[in-house]
Amino acid sequence: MAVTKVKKRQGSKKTKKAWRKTDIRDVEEFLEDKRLEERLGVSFKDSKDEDLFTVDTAPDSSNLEKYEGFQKERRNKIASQPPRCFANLKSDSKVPDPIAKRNRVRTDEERKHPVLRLKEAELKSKGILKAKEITRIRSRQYNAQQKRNKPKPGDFSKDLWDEDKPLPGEMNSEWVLQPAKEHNIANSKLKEMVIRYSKRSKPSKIAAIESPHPGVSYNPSFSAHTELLQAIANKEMELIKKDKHIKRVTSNMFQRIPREQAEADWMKEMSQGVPVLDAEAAKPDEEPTDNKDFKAINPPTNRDKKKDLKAKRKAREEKLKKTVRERTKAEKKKQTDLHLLKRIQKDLDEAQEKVNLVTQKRKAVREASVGTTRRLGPRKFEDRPEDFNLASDLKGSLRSIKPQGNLLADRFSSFQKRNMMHVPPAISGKSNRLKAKKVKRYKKASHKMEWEINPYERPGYLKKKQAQSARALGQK
Amino acid sequence: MGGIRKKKFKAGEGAQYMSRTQALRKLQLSLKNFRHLCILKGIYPREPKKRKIAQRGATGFKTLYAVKDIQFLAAEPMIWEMRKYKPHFEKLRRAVSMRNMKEYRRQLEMRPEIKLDHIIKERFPSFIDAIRDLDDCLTLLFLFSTFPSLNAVPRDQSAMCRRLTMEFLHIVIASRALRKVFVSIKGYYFQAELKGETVTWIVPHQFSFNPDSAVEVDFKTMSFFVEFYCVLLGFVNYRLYHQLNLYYPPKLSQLSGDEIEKTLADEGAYYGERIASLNVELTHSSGNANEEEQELDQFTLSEDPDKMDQIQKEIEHRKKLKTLFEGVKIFVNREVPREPVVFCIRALGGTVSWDKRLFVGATFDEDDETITHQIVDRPSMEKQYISRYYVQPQWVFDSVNAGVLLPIERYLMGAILPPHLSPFLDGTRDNRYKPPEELALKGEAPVVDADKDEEKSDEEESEEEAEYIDSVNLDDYEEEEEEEEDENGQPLDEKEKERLKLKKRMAVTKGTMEKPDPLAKQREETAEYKMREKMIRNKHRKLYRHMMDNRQKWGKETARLEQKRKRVEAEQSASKKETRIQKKKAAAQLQA
Repeated sequence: MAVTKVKKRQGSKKTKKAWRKTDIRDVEEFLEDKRLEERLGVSFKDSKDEDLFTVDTAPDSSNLEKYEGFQKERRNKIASQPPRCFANLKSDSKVPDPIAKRNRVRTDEERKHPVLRLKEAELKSKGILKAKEITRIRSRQYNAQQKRNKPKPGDFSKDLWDEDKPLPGEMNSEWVLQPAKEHNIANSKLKEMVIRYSKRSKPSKIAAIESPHPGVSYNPSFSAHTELLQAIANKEMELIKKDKHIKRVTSNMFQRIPREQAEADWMKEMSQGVPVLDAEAAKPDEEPTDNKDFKAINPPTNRDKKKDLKAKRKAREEKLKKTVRERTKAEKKKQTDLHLLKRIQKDLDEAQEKVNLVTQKRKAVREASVGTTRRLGPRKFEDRPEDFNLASDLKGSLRSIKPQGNLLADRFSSFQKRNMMHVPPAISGKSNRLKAKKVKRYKKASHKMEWEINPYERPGYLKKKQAQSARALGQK
Repeated sequence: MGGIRKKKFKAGEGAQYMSRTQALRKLQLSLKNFRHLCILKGIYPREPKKRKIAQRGATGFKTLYAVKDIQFLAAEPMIWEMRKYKPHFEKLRRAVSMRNMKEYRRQLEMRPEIKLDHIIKERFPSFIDAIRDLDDCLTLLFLFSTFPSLNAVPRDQSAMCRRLTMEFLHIVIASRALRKVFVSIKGYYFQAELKGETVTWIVPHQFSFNPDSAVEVDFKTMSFFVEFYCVLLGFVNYRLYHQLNLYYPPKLSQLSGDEIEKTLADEGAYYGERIASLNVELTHSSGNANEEEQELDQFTLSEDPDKMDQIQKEIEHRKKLKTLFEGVKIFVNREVPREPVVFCIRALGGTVSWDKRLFVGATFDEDDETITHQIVDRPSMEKQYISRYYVQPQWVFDSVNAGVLLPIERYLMGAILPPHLSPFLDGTRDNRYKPPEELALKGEAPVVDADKDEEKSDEEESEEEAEYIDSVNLDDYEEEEEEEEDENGQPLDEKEKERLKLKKRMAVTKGTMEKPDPLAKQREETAEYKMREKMIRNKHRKLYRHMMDNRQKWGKETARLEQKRKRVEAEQSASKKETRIQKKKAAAQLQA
């Protein structure tokens, strides 16, 4: 293989600039190697083979014994040594430290004057402490106390309902109204004990545990079971009916168009006005007809047609007359309407009655809806379908019972039904389960394989590579 | 005219409500903390009367809170502790990511804790209020006690649920408060009576936790509820235990000498398991303080005697129920769900045990000869003891509901069980027809042993048959006419007869007290009743009519069904009788 030598620059080496342009890499590399050899001790060239290599003739049984017998000891030894990860912090150079004696920074205690140190010790032995130390001790005690006072989970050793009554006896009667109670104990220590908000009514009247349908028994009577199934079937049928209706008034209302026709329609629509494709557009435009009949909606005004003073006056007079006429007519109507009073009254009464009826109805609806499920958020509450076992699943023995339903979901829905929580937004099953944070994922450059690396990804990467290849060439 | 211009939504509905975002901003809390706080304090969103005005003109549906509620929340000192959560968790996270475990541990110790005692007191000012709200609490805690540790449910929470619920069951056992049981496909419904309030709860079936089922539920929210209910049940337990003169936390009175076991497990687990076995006596602090049943005054001034009767009946029933399983020694087989069965038996005074290897707390073995009943749920058993009945678990539940120990014939091992009826039916169905079997199950009618009934009827029938045969034989003799005869047996003449007749008519008869016409009183009552019916407000008239019509309808239906049953039974017995007679005749012929 022909060695391509880097061409040496010829010319004068008089100036610094010229020297800078000179390639001294080979010299530098040589010196670098030299320094490394110096650091390692003896150069490779000078060292003997025996020093570098050993010839294994027999297995090292002594080492094995050691390993087997004193594993624990060995481990202890390893544990006592500084961790291997710190090895690169140590100096591996054989070159001695040029500064033989290094000074260590002394601690506060060491720097203290011996007299002072003695005095402090004396004070301490007498029990005289610094303010700093006293506060330290106090805060430590305080923290320990806090820790002790912390509520322990599961510690209920207190009768909550048997504590000192917050109000004196006569005030504690149910006949005393809340405002009176508050007034009497204002500015007293009892104030915080007043339970103002406790007498709130429950958010709904629905029972927490609704009584179960007898058909959900694990061994129901025939009639109860059929009753339950019938009820569920009726509900389902209603749902199907609703679905059918929706389908009928939405998707079934639109005609189905075959694909070819849809495409043809699209083509036709899109090519409108394009002469090449549209036959109508290809026809030559007809000559614009003479617009003799054309008339603007507002014909242009003309100065000659301006109203003269007389016409203006006439118009004014007409206007005045008109208003007078209308007013007298209205007056007259008022008088003639007098005999219609009864009828008007009747009309008014009827209207009032209608209004009353509506308000009454609204009131009734509101009263009926007290304690029922309300709409507390964007979504409406939907009751969970009732759980049931088909006749084939009913084995009639407790051992072979087939549990149905999800008690947790039931409780969750019950809270919603009883207005204790708004209905949470809908979640599609899949997205909920894989609800991971959106994270931008990338591979660390150091973990990439060679072919995965984009050389332009890291600054200086290309340069380094080139330098490496150049060096390789230089060595050869 | 003039004056200050009125601004919109400064008064009325518009000023009374606040959206959730506004509330968050006002309270300076994160959404999670706000939810937590609302659940602990019992503040729920509200629906306004006029939504558009309450939302200050915004359309759509916002979650609204009453301004007063939010002000109430703002006054809660717990809020300060809640605000500490965020920096605390930040410090924790930092310590973890810096691998500074010492700091991490220190931060863990400094975790802000929320104390809920005052909130319990605030939400349930009286003890009865707390008991009334126990339904939800118990159901949720029983459910959570079956959960494994999940992302949103810490392990200690489900352990705490388990502990508290088991302690609660001991209260029901100690006070004999169990009233109803219903085994449904969802779980076991239990009803107990505590301090005069009925408490109902559901216990899920074994192994019912299904991780997929949790998808539709916001676990974090439920966990907040559980946190609150744990504290509630803890304090309720404490008070109830003390009212029953029991130690709280419970102490076990007699511990068997298994000291080795004690050293094997840690103390908490050891006691927890024994308490969960529901089969240990708890130590009383000072004498047994079972609630004394109050005797009802005989001279109560109630107007309605029917009502009084009913109350009396109820008291009797309760009294009987409390000692239902007393003197009964029951062994529960391995395949039977132990917890509900043992609870039912123990709560009504029975003695119970199970296989020692199944669960701790077994008190006697299967080979004990004094066992009266063994609960089995398999079609047959190889080794059976003659001294005991082998019954299916439904016998226990049905007996609890009936209030009497039901005859075991229909519940014997391998028998096809009668239906398990719900004891939770409301009174509206009272008018409906109930077959005698159902009545018997409810303990309303005297329980008639099926076999005995048959025997009895057999006897009756044979008697009847005998009579029938006799009558056939005696027919000829009985057809004789009876003649009027004198004491002496001599016939009287016409005149004398006439005289006696007249004499009779002339005699002064003793006067009788004028009896008030019973019909008149009834008539008056009906008239009054009709009057009252007329006085019903228009608002309720329709409902009343509907109710009465229904009642009538069901009454008719009941009567019809009763008639039908009578007819069918009569037909059956007649056909039976006929076959019997025929058999007898055939036998007689054969003999002849």
